[in-house]
Amino acid sequence: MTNRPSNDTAADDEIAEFRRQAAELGFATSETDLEAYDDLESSEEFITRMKWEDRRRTRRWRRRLATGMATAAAVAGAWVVADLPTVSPAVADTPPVLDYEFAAAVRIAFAPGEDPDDLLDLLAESAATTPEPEAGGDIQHKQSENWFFDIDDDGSARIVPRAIETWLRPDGSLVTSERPGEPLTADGRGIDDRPGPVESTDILPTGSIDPDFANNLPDDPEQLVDVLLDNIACTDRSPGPTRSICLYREIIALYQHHVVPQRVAAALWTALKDETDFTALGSVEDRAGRPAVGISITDPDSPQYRLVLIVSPENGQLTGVEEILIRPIDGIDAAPPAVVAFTTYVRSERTDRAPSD
Amino acid sequence: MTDEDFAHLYEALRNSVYTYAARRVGPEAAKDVVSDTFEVAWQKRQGFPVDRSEWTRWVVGIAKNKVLQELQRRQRKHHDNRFVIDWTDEERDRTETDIAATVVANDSARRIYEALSPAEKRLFDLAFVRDLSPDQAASILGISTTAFTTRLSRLRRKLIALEAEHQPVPARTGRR
Repeated sequence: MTNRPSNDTAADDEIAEFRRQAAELGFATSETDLEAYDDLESSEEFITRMKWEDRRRTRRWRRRLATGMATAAAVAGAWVVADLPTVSPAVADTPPVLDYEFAAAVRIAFAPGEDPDDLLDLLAESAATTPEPEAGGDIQHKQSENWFFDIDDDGSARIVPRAIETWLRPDGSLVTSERPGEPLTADGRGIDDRPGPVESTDILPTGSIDPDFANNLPDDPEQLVDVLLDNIACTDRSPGPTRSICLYREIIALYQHHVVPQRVAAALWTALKDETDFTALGSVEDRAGRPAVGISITDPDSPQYRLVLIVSPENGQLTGVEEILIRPIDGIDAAPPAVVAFTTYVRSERTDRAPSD
Repeated sequence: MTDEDFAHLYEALRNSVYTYAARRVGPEAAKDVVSDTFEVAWQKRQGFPVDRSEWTRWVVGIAKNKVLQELQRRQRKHHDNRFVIDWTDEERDRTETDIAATVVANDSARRIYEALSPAEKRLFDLAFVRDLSPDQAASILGISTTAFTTRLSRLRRKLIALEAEHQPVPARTGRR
């Protein structure tokens, strides 16, 4: 890549002399050039764009994800960043991007990751060999710390940390409590499960959510995928980006309110081996300081974002989700790469009491 | 070629390709040339030479073709299909003189650059690309290294002559 000396010393001397002389005459880099350099894409931006265009060239899109996305968004609540390009300005500082084994934070926008099969095998085995935790009741309790975009009435966007707890009762009612989230440490971590004063509590009535959905899921990976794709009403079941992103969204939704059985988690990771668009980002210390691994996908309809599932290698359970802006978007004042949303689960258990009981 | 290799190549040559293209097609079109050049390089990255020292020549060679395509596009647009394309040095010279005014650092250098013939400008621009060896520059121009060196030597002599010609006249301090 660097200058290769010519076989002809006279030629080397001549070109060196020419460049020296030209510089002396004032043929230095002009101010106009220097200003223009700033407008050129960085290598990260360029490679990210090329990869997206490669994908468009090589894979045919038969239809959009609209139905699946709408369903996922309705279930997943805050995970609707794909719609954000239309909102306007001013975003607060974003949490630091985590460093992954195969994608350091500074390279998250373009690091390709690695083939995920070995990692998925490890997670499936871990999940399958970890005993179910002892159930303390029949209410499914989840506690998470979340940072996500909040859109004010005036259309401005900001990032808001929220601590969310949910209790899914056997009758399908759901209690959700929220309180302000904790500040992060400088490395983007520091999350724990300490309680705090609740700011608001919402209750969804009986029958709102199927409490047995996770428990009734099949162990067989193929059957499991069929059920999940049905549930999210995925519009394309053939192997490819659409199906993969449907499964990603469905995994997020599954873990939001349910305690997922170990056998189902094992089947999930095994099933992802047959998908085409997941890559392994390798080990990472999650935002609660726990060892974890990252599995990444890019939504082809929103290539500005890299989406990451964070999974515990110790028990094969999903412990977090991150959405990372990897390309600039008009109206969002965050310089890529920037974490625009994350959820870190700090509790997932069966208990016998919900706050309103 | 790995993504990391490509990223390094891009970072190493992006500004040089821009500067080269800006002299020939202007600042705005030069940005497109940079983008188009590296898009081609990306698509062909698996076919790049094993010898990494050849990568610069490949990229600058692509840039040269992209510049040529841009100039030809302008020429076709200018003629609006009513005239046979007559790609003369005079036409190119006219375009490039306008452009030089915006991309050369100072007035003296601009006047010197404008005084060069189109062929000399092409030689100048290519020889000015950092990291390009004489062999590689000669190869891109389609001439031998010896011919390249001879022309460059001649160009240097002309630059010296033009510098003397464009020296500012010293201010006179005469009595009234």
